[in-house]
Amino acid sequence: MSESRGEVVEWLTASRHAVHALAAARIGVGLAVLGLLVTNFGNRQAWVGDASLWAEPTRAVSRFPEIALLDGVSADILTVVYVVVMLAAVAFVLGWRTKTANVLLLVGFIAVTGQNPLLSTASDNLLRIALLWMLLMRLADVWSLDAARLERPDSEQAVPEWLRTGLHNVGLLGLGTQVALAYLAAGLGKVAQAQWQQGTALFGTLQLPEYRPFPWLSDLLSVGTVPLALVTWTVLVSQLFFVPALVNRTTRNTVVVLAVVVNLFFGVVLGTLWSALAVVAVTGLFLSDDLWEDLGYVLADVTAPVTDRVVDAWYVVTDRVEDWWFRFVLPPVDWVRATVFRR
Amino acid sequence: MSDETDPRHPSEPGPPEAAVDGAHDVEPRTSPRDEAAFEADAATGPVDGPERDASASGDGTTADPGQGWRAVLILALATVAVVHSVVIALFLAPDGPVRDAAGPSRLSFYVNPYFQQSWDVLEPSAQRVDESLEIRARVRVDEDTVEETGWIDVTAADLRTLRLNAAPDRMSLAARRLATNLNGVMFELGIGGRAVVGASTTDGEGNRVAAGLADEGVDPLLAGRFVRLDTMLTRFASLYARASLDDPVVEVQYRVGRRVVPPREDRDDVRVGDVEFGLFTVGWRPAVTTQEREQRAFDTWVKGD
Repeated sequence: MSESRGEVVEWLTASRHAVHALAAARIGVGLAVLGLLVTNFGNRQAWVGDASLWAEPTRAVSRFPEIALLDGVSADILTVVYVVVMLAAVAFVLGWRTKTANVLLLVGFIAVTGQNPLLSTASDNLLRIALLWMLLMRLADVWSLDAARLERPDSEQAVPEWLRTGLHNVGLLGLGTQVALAYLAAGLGKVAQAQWQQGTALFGTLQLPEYRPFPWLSDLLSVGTVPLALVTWTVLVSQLFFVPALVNRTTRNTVVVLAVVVNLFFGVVLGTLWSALAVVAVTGLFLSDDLWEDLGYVLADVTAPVTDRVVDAWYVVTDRVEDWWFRFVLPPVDWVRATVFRR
Repeated sequence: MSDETDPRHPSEPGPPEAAVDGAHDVEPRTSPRDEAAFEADAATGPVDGPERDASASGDGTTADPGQGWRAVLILALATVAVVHSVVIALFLAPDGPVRDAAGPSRLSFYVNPYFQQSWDVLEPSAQRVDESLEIRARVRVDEDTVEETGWIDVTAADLRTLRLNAAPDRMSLAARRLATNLNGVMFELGIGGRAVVGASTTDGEGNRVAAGLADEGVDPLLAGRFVRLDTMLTRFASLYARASLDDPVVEVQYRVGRRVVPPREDRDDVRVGDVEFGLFTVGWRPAVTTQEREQRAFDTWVKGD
């Protein structure tokens, strides 16, 4: 008993787990929120602003205190707050002032999406819960601008290292369990229905006009018996066996990759891309951390030609700006100094 | 999920502990790149992996595992997280003696609003009902004449924005969500309630129809849901009619449609687009007055300016 307690305490306190997976989750969650906000920027007034008075009765029964931040504000203030939340999402993705960005993003995301509960989606819930748990965690240990900035003595940090590590692991426990529950509930809910067992459950969904941004693709998947059964059962397997597969490293990584592919695929097919990205972001928590790390290196290698050219171009731009500064700005400034201030 | 629908569906959540082990790895890494990674990480505290062991970090600030009040505190916090997860599991669980013992209303109170969720958070789900929202208006064409317009299919207009778009905006869901929720309430209202609603005229905020539903013996909670939706739909229809029509809008009316995807066996003969909508129509409502800036903002969405 005391030995197992010791193992649990060791897991919780000795070191921070899944730092790369959480950095990836941070980037994914940030992109999902950013994508949602960018997509809706043009129609923000009808969605959550002045012209959303039609949704006021459902807003009135919401229990989120955050919605008071934007309730009844002018169009200009909404735009300012909306842009601030988008910038917080960018900062979150880049890992710049990550904890502050996390708080801003959580409050701002609820304030914006909470203005119109009728148009909320299940992924809003997932994003909110993920951002809540992420408050406890260290998301910027790697793959972030903060990683370099945080190279300072621990004495300067407000929270002691042991507590930060403990909170990080408790947060990981909470979010990981939440994601596992989501898969378990979804898998068990589906397998109880005959149409999922028979491999025909997705026919109706793929035929509904609201879920057919690419009609030829939806027909390709749903009209033939074999393709329909294949996609239906693949979805079922990826959700039903997600939790059982977590017990072993190989099966865990396999089921995570499968779930990610399924979510992204149906995100495109059904026109629910940002929702799919939100699910993918938290699903990736279960991919082994060393695989994430290797993936990061591979990505860095693959994108090196592009990023190198961007950096080279950036240097050219800064050189030109510097030239321009010395040729055109400083001479008149010096002239003013020499002629005006000398007097 | 909108708060107009019941987001909780039955399921059988299992032990949450399975998630814990899956969230980390401690296998050794042999990549030569690790050294650089470790150097970058060492300054930010202990992380996974043998070479990242807390005792080797040298910062001396990490809790001694299994010792002292620090470990007790973290263990207590972890226990809170586990208890929280059990509550979430119970909330997602199907109705039954265990869930009843926990108290469904207490579970809802705890979960709402921050941990609100449903079992079908993960796409795709099986759906087969198509819904529509149509509106029409009575417009003043001159001082003495009011004319009735034809029905405007709002959902059909929304569908045009969905074409070839993997990430449509939220407003393209609006008409369909309103229709979905109203269809649900209409079925619950029963024949008597639907008759009241179909013949009803209101002050635009649903007040008169609420009295009619009360006389019909409709559950006040259900009547309240209808009134809330009716208010939303009347406002939406008023804004939409003004954005779509040139003449001043005096009254609006809306109807919601519902049709089911035909059986898969008939797919070669009939598709959902060939099926007629079953319609619920409500009485005429006075167009809701809005401020100019609100209407202008709504016009931007409808006209795509």
